Amino acid sequence: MTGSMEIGDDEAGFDDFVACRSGALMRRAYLLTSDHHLAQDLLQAALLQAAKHWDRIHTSPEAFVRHTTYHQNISWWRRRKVVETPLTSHDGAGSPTDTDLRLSLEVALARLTPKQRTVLVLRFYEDLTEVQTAAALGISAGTVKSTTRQALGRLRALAPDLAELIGADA
Amino acid sequence: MTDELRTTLHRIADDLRPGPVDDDLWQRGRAARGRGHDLALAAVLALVVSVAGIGAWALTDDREAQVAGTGVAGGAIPSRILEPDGPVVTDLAIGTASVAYVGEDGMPVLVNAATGKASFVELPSFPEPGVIELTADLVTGPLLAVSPDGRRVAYAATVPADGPDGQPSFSTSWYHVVDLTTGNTSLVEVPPGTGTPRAISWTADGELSVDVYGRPTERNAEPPVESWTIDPDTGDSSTSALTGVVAPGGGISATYPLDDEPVTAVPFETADGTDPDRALPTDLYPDNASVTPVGWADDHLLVARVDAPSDSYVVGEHLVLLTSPDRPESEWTYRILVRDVPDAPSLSLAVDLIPDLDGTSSQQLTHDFGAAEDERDISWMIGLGVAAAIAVLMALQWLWRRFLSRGR
Repeated sequence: MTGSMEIGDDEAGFDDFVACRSGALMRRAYLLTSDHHLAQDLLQAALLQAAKHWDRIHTSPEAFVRHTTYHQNISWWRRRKVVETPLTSHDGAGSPTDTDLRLSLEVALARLTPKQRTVLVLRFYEDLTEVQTAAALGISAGTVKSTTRQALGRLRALAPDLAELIGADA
Repeated sequence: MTDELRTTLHRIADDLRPGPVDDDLWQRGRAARGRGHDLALAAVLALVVSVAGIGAWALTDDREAQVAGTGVAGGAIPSRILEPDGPVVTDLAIGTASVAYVGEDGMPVLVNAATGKASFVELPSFPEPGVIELTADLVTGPLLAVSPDGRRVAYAATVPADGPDGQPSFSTSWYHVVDLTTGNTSLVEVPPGTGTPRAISWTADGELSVDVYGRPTERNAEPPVESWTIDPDTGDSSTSALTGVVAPGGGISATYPLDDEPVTAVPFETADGTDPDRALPTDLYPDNASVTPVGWADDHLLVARVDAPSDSYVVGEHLVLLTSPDRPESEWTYRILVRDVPDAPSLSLAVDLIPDLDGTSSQQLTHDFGAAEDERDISWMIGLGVAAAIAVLMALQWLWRRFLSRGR
């Protein structure tokens, strides 16, 4: 009886977590993937892992889901990259009709590598420091710094109209 | 700069309309967890089975090394005398032989005492098959004799010759003795006035014993059979009072039969001339069998080859241990030694490899060299069977869980 109650409590706790946090988690997943469908898949996969390990992570499920999302995204990209369209074909400036700054940034983000995008999301959306970002991704702080610099430089090249947003130089 | 970037990123995120999340995530996650546990359990069981299998294999391998790899310590008589297999052995330094015989095609065969493996061997100056065929009417016992300790074999270097009327004949000037521990061969001169032997055996003290035809005493009469012993190291020879296979004490001998007629008593000779014929124990001995002596396992225990008729309770040829008739009836025994005997008229046994009888009927007198390999095969089959059963059970459990989850 006690066991079934615990199982029921676990499922209810998971459902509550999903109901409360899936929106925020989905937004983060979208920034990481720049694709609605990929973001949906990424979040589902991370939540599935959360359900699987709920006994262990139910006290801080969001940290687990965030961590899983970052790594799952990079892992998926590594598996897909052999068929990915070469970036050189997209390295030209964005469409001149994309005058809206937000839209320009969204398009430019989609042309970054997942690793660059993930670092930018952690640094400027999650407001993590370089050290915290390095810890979250399991890389060195130096790598975070260089990846951030490369990502911003790439955004500058892809969307010159974002110069005001991201500065002339990082 | 970073504030503007942060603000823009939040705007992008806020503009997103989050889609629905699957409502069966919890069930799928828990099912995946169950499968993970099952897989972990299966991995642990597979590991245990593998370790057990490797352990059984290693132990079996060790046991094989004792009995067949490096050999039974000192060698053993095989429980089955197999047909020769593999290439002809030219390096005669095989260590010890438990059995020696001449195959139907006239090729000499030795059974390695350590491994039980029978092989054709290339013996120097061994009689050609045609010569062996010519001597068939003369020969009553082994042509190729292995010493009691299995370390030497002896045979007559009989060669073809022209008979008095131009008929094909044969002659023997030398015996060959091969040391199986070194592979060296030595020549031993035949005793004076003797020729091709009717049978060759070894005495318990390591001398050659040969039955030969003696000097004829009457015209057109078959010459008498006499026996000689020869020291293979010095070549010194002397006549022996007894023909056949002489017991270690020299007081009694089991004679070779002159034909394969059935006998009702084991034929023996004694040095003092008393009638040693011992009636065969009717409760043990197969009726109407023919008996050929092979050697003496000890002073009073004869190794004989018995060919029993088809209606006997022990069918076919087999090797037995018989108590000599100079012992009281209470000591009589009839122990079957080897049931599978090759169809070869010339068969010799390294009798020292037969263990002393301990008085129990369960005592193992021979070694089953094929048993260790068979047991190893069985252990592998058991291991694989257990692993397969576990795999099937795990698969059934997985299918059952899947069936239940779909039924919800």
